[in-house]
Amino acid sequence: METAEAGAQAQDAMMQEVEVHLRIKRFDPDVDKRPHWEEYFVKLKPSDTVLTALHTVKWTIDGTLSFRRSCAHGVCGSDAMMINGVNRLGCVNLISDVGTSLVIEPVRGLPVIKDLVVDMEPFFAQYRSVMPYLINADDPGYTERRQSPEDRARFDDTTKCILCGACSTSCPVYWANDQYVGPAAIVNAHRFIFDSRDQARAERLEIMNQKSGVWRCRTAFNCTDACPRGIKVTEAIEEVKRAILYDRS
Amino acid sequence: MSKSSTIYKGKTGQWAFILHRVTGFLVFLFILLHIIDVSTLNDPTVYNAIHQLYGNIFLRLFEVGLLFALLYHALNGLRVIMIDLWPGVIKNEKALFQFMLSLAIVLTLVGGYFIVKPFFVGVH
Repeated sequence: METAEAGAQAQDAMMQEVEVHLRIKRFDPDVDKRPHWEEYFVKLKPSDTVLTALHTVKWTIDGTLSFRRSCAHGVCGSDAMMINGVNRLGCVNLISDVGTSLVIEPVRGLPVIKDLVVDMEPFFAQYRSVMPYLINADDPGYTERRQSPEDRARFDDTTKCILCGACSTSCPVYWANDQYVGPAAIVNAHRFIFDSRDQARAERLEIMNQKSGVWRCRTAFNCTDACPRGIKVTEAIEEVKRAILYDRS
Repeated sequence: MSKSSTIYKGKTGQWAFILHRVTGFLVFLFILLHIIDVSTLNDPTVYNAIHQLYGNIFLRLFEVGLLFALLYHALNGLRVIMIDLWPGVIKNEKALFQFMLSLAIVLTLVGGYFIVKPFFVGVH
């Protein structure tokens, strides 16, 4: 009885509106020379997401606030941003997770276009540079390219990437060095390097062995902490490093 | 509103990396200083006068700092090498950082005792 009551109370608390204080780093290229901070107060439920907080600001207080979002459910990877000092997706973090005092900034290491919207093109150029697609010249005929569950499991972790950029833009090396391909590109290279059906392993390892590749990683582990899909990013990068060291024929 | 820049709140790995960079740079600066003080050897009076300076308490404390920088940089370097070469280590990288940092501090305290001691009891 008591636990049911406590559960009901907790549910009530989640439905009770609280005041949320947002500090958002704003930048309008038409007006501003440099970014500035704006403060907003909104009423939200603890069960609301940070994205809902941004929507509330945009729809009821200041329509000029710009940010990206598409699916709003942690799948599309559009709304990676810095929330209270760490890279997170706005859409999967509840007010009850992150607190009622929020500091929101665009991710670092990519040029800011407006407010929380950054230019993702350098990021996608790095992604394309690792050839993130299956390369296999053999014609399987009218059947699938079959693979054992063990072979599939080898790269399972790195298939989960949604290309939100939270990992790359949390990396201190990535902020300082625009030549580094970044954790996300390495994760997507890993996904094919360790795929038994792929035939371009050597080429991809060669790309990873460049000056801009895996050796720029200094194991700060920010990427692993930032990934909203829980991918062990640093571990994937280390596996690619060891593949270059040991496995090349 | 005044705060224009914020610090990325990375965990131990980020601070291990930053401390590694900072201590590496400090050790590099010390090597430059060391090259300069050793290069005065062709004039023994200058050499002795400069090396007399290292006996004062401030430079002894500076040397304790140098010892910490060297120890941290070396031990964290070993941590990174272990993470790179042995697949299992990455699961314990935080504990390994704490161990290496503690070891650097303990060895600095032990070494620091011997560095500072002559200032109080005399060299001879």
